[in-house]
Amino acid sequence: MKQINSINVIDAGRPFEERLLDELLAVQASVNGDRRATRSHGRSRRIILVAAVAAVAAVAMGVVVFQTLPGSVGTPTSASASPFLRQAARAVLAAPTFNEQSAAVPQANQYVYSETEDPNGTLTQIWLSADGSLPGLQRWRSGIKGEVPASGAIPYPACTVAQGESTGCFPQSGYFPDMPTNPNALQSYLNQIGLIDTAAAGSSASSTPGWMDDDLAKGIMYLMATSYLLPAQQSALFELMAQTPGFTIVPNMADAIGRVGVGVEWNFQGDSGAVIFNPATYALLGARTWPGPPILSAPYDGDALLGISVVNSIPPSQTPTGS
Amino acid sequence: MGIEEPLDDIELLGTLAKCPRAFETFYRRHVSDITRYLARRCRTPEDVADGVSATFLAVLTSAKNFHPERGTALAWLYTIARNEARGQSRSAGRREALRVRLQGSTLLSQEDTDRFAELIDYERAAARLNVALRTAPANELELLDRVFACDESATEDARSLGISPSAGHKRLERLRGRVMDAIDGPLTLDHCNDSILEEK
Repeated sequence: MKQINSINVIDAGRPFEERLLDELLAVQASVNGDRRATRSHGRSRRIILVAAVAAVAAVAMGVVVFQTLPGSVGTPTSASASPFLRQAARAVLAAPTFNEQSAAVPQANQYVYSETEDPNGTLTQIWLSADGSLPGLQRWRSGIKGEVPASGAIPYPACTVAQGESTGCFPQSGYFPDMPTNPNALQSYLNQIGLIDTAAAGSSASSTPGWMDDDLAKGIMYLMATSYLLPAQQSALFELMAQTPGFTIVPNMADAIGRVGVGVEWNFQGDSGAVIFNPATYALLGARTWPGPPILSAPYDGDALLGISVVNSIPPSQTPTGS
Repeated sequence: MGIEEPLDDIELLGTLAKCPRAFETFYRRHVSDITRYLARRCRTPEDVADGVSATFLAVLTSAKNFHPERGTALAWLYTIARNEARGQSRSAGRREALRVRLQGSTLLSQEDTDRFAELIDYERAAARLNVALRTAPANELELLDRVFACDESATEDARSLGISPSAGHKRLERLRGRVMDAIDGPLTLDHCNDSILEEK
């Protein structure tokens, strides 16, 4: 008979690891209790609440919403995404997709601001310092009543690209003027500053099939959803995906708020994900990840990008202290 | 009573949601490696602590999404840690709410902070050393290999490779110079040995 066998890897004296374990076990108990408490919530009531909160949030925040495209969700195919991505790489050079009011690139004391919404109607706002030298901020408002807390904020510590390269911190920059526009150099650069980790920092995990696709797609998705990208940089990101095997195309895929675009899909360890692009402008619409195969009607995690712009400040009341 | 076999990771993840002991076992088995992984990618002890807590919080809330037929538990765990290191787990759902309630950095003592700061320095040096060794000429590495493997002097190892002792010493000196340049500062012999053996 097998048994659960605790392995003593922690020294005596109640170090961090032991205190963290205590807290995690308390959270585990709390989560189980929460689940029991929320079972009585009706699905229809939840949907109404989600819709209402999302609508109020959209109006209140004055978000920039991309045009919803017509069409219905279709059946996934296994065709390579490379032709679509290469077309996108060419197109964005002529017609940049960054949705901002001014053509001027962000200055060091400015922020790149982005808004996303998830399938539950939760609105997330992110302010990233243009060069990473100032603390950033994430703020959200849950679309589901009963989440604790229903809204909140997390400061992002300042970390410039140079600091990322020298110290390994995650760059919290909204603009990367030195980002290469050659796809191969771009991949090296993204690894170097820690935005992707295609070698899994030397661990054996990188040999898992699909690791590269999963890592690259999430890194590029993150950049496109939170950063000011020059046209040539956008083009290189598309080209880098195009030359990486494993991405397939899904002609009609809806994002978290129902806009239909073209999905670029990948699989990793049986799970799957897709980055969704506007087929006319190649702008990022959003992303989905599924715990399992990419069944369009199945529950998923993901975000729709509502808007992205350059702003001068973080809301004063939310300015984080320290870094 | 015979010797009882411990549960493997897949079995632990299957029962983790219902069984606190299963989570504890999984946590204790991997917390050191995940801390090292995050130390390689984070700047401060606080970042490491937050990353470790966020990773295992995600294990708690996402274990139901792990399917053994799709891949190893280890790759699944490292994927979570990688995403946390990237700061990409940004969806503002239940996990984010829980994360606010549980920030690992608030649990750090001064002793923990010092220990994590040392770990960050060590992992950073190891990463640079790894790069230096990967790019070093094969003949230098071959000699280094002999020195470690045969427990003989560099002179004897040089002779066994068919080169003169002075050429052997020069190769080792060049390699030492590369390593010192790469890590940008002094490195203790223990760290150097450990890192070389580990990365090779």
